[in-house]
Amino acid sequence: MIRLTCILAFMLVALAGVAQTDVSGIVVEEGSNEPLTGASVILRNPAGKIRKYATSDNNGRFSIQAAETKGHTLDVSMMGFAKQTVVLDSVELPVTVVMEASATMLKEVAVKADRIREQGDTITYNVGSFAQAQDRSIGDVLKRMPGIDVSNTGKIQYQGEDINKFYIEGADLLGGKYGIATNGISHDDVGAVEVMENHQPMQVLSGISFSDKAAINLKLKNKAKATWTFHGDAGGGWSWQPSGAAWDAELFAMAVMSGFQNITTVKTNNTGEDLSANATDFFASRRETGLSRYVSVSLPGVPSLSRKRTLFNRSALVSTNSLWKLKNGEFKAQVDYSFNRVTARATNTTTYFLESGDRVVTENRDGLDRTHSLSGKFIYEVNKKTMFINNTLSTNIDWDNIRLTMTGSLPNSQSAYLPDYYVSNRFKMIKRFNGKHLVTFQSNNEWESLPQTLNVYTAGVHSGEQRFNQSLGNHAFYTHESAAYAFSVKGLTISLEGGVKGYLRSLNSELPDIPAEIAGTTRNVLNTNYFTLYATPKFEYWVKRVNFTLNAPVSFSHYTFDKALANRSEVYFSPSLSVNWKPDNRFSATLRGGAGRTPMDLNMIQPGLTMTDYRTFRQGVDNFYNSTSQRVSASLSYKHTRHGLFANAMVMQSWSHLPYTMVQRLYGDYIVYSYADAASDGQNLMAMGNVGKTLDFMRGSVNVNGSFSSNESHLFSDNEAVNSVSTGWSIGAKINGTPLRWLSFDYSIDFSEIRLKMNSVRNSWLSGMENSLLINIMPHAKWEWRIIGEHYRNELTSGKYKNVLLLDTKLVYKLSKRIELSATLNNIFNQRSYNYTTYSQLSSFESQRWLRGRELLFTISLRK
Amino acid sequence: MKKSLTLTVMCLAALTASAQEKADIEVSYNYRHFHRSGKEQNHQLTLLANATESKFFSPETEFVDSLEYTPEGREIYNQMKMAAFTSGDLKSVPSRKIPMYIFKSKAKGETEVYDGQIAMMFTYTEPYEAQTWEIADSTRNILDYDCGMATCSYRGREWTAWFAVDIPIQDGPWKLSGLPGLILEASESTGQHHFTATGIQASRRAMTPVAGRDHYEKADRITMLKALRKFEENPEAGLGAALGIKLSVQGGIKVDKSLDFLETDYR
Repeated sequence: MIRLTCILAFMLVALAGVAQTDVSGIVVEEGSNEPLTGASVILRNPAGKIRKYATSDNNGRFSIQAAETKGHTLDVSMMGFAKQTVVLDSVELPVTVVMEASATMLKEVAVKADRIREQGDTITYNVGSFAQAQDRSIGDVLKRMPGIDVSNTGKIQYQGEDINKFYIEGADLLGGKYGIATNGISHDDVGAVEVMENHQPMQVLSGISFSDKAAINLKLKNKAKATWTFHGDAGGGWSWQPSGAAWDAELFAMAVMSGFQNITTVKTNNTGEDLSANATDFFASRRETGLSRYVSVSLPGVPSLSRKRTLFNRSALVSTNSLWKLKNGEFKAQVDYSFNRVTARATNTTTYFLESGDRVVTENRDGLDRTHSLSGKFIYEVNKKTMFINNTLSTNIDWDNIRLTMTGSLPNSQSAYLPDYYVSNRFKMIKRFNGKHLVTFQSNNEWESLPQTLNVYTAGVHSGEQRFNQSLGNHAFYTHESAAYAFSVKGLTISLEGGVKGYLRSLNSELPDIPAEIAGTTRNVLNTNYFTLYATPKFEYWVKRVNFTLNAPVSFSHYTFDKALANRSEVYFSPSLSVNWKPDNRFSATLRGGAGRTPMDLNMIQPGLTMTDYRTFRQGVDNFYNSTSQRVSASLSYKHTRHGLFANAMVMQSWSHLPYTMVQRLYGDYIVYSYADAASDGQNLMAMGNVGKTLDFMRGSVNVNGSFSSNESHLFSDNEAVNSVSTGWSIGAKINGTPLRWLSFDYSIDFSEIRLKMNSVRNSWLSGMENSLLINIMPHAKWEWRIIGEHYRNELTSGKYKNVLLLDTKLVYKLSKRIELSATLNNIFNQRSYNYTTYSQLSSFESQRWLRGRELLFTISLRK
Repeated sequence: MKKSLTLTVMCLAALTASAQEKADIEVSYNYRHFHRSGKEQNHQLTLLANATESKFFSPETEFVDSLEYTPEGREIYNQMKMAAFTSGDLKSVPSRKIPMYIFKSKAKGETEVYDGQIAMMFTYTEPYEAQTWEIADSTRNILDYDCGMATCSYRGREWTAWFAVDIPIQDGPWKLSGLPGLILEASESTGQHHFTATGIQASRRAMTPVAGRDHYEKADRITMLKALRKFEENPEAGLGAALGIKLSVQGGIKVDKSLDFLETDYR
């Protein structure tokens, strides 16, 4: 019996063994039939539960022992291939599973550590994790990085302070013209953006002189290094207003090699982008030649909408920038040419409701401004730990030609020709020896000529036909030689800079005819020269985590005016102090204060009248004045890189005391500005704050900012003292992200209010609000569809608003990695004008401005 | 002779090329564990993986290694240390907080491990083996992925893992692998070690070998763990030996004796 039981038991076991099925097979790639290693094979029961699983081996084979297979399925999946499901009842074993190549859709969650990293003083932003599908250039992505702010002009700030250097792979190719890079370099070529806090660009000063500025370095991806990269767009189409052909084209080439860098770009458009802004030098120091324009004819103002809606332009830009690394230093050559032709038109209609019937006065203004600008900059620099040499030769030639025609109560036409020629050479050498001693030599020489011509033709009702022709010559030469010595002991750096400055300027102006209503001389032959000797002691002290910097410049100047004014000698002292406290890597606070006495702007000395535009004249002071001012400011910044949080705030108050006051007088239709011997105190308060945070759950970021400003100034208007205070505040927010795999968006809102108070008469607050939303839909890897909506709500007079809604759309087809085709339709509803009417008790005022109309563009984009 | 040299060079080149395998996916994990003093620590670790190979490491350690084992890098690193020393902000210098690298190769059937402490850096290679997992019925959502639960017993600890079938990479943090989907979270029963995925992205990053791998001493796993245990129990002596000085810390270094390594089977 026992035996039988045993046999039965054995048989059962054997039967059970037979019932075990070997679910086996091979996984191969479609087409090549190559076996695939590492595929995941899952056996699921009819309820979909995982029963068993395996991996394909080096020969693509797998084998699963299963007790039951009825109704079971086999899921085979692998990265880069579409998942295959095999119903076991319908196949014979061993099974061959053919895998079809397909992108495995990952629900990506950005790798946090990689979005923003912090290493010492360097913050590294991963570009890929901030870029949205709609972005093209690295500048588009920089705007999304918390802590970094890119203004409309392209200027970059980090934690509220302007950056002091912009590097590409550690080399300073573009200097302050980094807009060429931020607008040109494709974000896809950049791996990371590094922000170097407290960046001291001159190695020779590292550890000796404190810098509270940050620098940005673009780390390129390997594919963009040691080679030329190119990309170009060519777009053409039709514009409904201005009616005609529309174009927008760009070619960008970049080489980043170990001994040579080059960026060359050629751009042109007539679709509302002013390209001259691309080549602005954000690090340019103020021209010491200090010439200013006496003639100021400006095009009619445009409504406060985004510039691309209101700019009627034809623009072109060519820029080529090269850097050669030499044995000891580097040589850079930057050459730019830009052309900008802008037209603007405005119509104002004023209706006076009179008992004798309505009187209508229409004023039309029609202007054309043509600007050419050619600049060249040649730099040789040695930047080593013991030695710094920089010689920069710059030349800049601008031609500005403006024509403006007006009809109405004072019909006239004006044309101004304002060329500007400028050459400068700046040399600086710093030598460090014994580690702690520094010697600096500097020599700057600048020359500028700004001739100005204004021709006005008027045909007034009262005055009849008149012509005014003004020609004005304005030239200056400035030289500055200095030497400095500095040494550093135990965290204290003491330096003394001394030098001489010389300045020669001549002004000749002639205005043969002036309107009969105005009296005065109309000729200026003037020399304003000075010679200055100065000394600037500077103390820098480091203790714990605090840096104190005290600057105490003292100067003696002798002014000569060639008999127009009595010669003068003056002594100036303007000390300033700054304290920076950085208790840890996250927090930094800075306090700054300064006071001083400064000479007046020499351009104000002008005994004879000059004509600013067809109805405005200017007369200068006939005395020499000094002004005094004080300022204090405080700034705070905080960051927590792991949480992607950046915040900064700043408040500044300044006071100025001028011994003169501007006077405005009306003579018939004409306005004359001059100055009176009366003290005028002004003050200015400004505060702003900014908070940025990454939003990792949707690979996005958010930014909130606010600002407040109040400005007080004085003026005499027809013998009446006018004290005006303008107050304004604004708040704005931006948010962007990719909440769904196929959807990304950008949204921004800005709200601002301003108020003007004159002699304690308060005007009401006037507000402006702007909303802008971009939605980008990616239904398929090759297609993108973008919808952009902008809404503006501008308050014209108290309680009366003007609303404008503008819609754009764009369709993108990615033919391949290198070729992209797109169609853009801007201003779909073809809103061509911005009109409004305001009423007072006795009149109505109607304003009419023009907007860019509907625009259809087809673009092809290529990249290497 | 010349021919054989060429062949050797080619072989070497092939080896380096195979070592430079590209990842399909990059995953970052938060590793929650405890310092010997008993203080909770959180570190960011990265997994680069494709169907057959993977590399698990600390990006900070890799950064330090890349600095220390190249002449230019060392200079930068020294400058960073000097700058930190003068500003007093020593924490800002990157350091090897988690010195571990784990390379799993299913193709070669090998797991290559680098680990250590201060001056005691070890490396060993062991056969690749997936844990014997028990799949349970529970499910959970991690980073928007439906995850299944599985448990295993591995080298002295009881592990619970959550894996995403939708990511067909049979890999995970540390030595954990072999589930039919990527392991997004793993914890062991005492709560001393816990890995949670915090980010996932497609990636073509190369799985570069360890910089300065010649600086690691070859050992076997148990010998290494025993040596590291000795260090943990008397860090003063260990640190002193590493620095070549006699070190004594006032009041001694506090050590929480209940804590242990990821593997406890060496005891």
